[in-house]
Amino acid sequence: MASLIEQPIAVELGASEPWPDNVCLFQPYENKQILLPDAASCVSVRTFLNMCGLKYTVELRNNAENMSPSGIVPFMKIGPFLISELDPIIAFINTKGHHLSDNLNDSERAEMRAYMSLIDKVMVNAELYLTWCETTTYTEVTKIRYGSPYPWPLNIILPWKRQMEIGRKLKALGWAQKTYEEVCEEVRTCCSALSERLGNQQYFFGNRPSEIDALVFGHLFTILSTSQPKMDLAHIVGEFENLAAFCIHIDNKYFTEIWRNDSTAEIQRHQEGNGQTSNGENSDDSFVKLNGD
Amino acid sequence: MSGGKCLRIWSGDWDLPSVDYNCLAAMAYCKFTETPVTFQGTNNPFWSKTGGLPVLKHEGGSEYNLTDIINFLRKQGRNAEFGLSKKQNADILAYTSLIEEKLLPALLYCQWVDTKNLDDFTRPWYFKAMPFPFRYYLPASLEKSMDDKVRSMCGCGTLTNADIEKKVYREARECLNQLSNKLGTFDFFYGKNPTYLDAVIFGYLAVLYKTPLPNNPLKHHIQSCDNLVRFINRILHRFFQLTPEETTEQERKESERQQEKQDISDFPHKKRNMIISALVALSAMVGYALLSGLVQIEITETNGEGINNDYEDDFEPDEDED
Repeated sequence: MASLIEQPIAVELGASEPWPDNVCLFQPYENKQILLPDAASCVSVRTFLNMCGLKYTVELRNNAENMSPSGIVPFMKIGPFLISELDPIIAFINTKGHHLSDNLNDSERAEMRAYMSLIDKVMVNAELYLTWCETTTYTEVTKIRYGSPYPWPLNIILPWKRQMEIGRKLKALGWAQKTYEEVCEEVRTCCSALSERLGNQQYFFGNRPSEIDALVFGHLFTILSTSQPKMDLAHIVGEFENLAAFCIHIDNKYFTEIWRNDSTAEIQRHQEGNGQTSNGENSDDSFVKLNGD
Repeated sequence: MSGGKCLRIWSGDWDLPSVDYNCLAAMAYCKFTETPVTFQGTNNPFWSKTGGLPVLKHEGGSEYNLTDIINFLRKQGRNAEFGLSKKQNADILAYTSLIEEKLLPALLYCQWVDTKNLDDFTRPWYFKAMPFPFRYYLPASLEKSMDDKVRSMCGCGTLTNADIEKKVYREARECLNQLSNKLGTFDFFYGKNPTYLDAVIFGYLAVLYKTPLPNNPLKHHIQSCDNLVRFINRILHRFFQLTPEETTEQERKESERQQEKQDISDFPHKKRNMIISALVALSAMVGYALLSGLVQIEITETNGEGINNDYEDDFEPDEDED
């Protein structure tokens, strides 16, 4: 594991090389394992890659979390490099010459970073809170899904261990002390800020997609399309019509269309065998659910 | 509006009305909105529900953190963002989280995790500032919670201190540059009148800029951004003019510090004196021990001699007899 991380640093292969053919994005199984916060960041990364028009395949692994160099999913294998999380992936892809936000000026870019921080601070923590600290969701969903790949004693111990870890983190950040209602209120404030910023534009900045669009879509779409015992977050997001419309627009443009345009043979080849799938997998399914909301 | 409000804070030092970024932000917001509040430097977070200051006491109860205090003031009609559009309010929220994500870890790292700063500066300051029984354990628990906070903000817990340091300072520098760009030549971030965002940014920047931490790379960075320095001084001058009593208090503290410095520069002398007095004490004790011990030894020796003498006495007559 350690050698896998150190190797790319040691090799120091130039990032200036063209985009390789065999880029893989690793993430947990979507239908029976992945949890809300991880799903949101996976969708964000895939949206970003689709927006850049880069080819990749999604590899599903039930131990993706343990394979990732930072312990956080999703992570990507790009040539000899292993990179996890959205920010480092964006930074790496920028060095490859693919920029989404190069049409923005400095102040717009600063503003974009500010809104990305807002998402990281509010949405990510709220998702973690809902998944790990909210009792009903934890017992009915999180415990079962997180423990699903493991045999008996481990499927009790590992979720519990993870819950302790996340609890410590949220406590240090001052979120564990909040009530569920306060968390919902934070999400509502965040969504109303996003909604104000978006207005009736198609994208957050200018008439082209940028990183913030990928991040916002990842979180909002996942919240809207995941069925949970407590759907309050989805209802809050749904209250903002322009945000819901934004999600549908991005989903159509960067998932459904790509899904349709991709040659079916290609997709079938990826889907065969050990749980590989192509980008755009199950987005149709989620899209239907979103409309249902 | 009644004047019965009281804001409990960490007290001020080094030309700052308070040494804590949250307290500074709350105080600045009160000043911006001209809320009648008395500031009370209690330096004791023990009674606070969240374990931290500032705490706002009012007739209806208490507010325990910055967000609640600001919301309370807004509900009272003390709002600094009247003239702003909804979009600008959204921007303020976004920028506040940007600063919290990028600048706060660096500030906390600088004060509470960097070993040199912690040992030489933060720990002694909080020890001195807190009232008697609390000072023996509250600083340690503060230290622990700040350390946890920095680590949680940096993502995974496997990073070493050196990695964290590199990461937080790099991000903080980027953030400072962005703020400097955004401020430009304006007086405040949204034109002529200060807002919540100004209060928050002032809190962070003033602490980073004015605190004499031994190891503070961000201070130099702020110094290189002229407009940020002017921004700090503008708020200090315009809203925190010292009253005569406070000025004398400041001077007293300053002279105390000078005195301490004097003491520190006298340190070799002090050491010599200490060594001399220790030597004197030691020699007196040894002298006494020797003296009394000598007597003891002499007694045992005289005993021994006595025995010997006895033997000798015993033998002598034998020899004599022989």
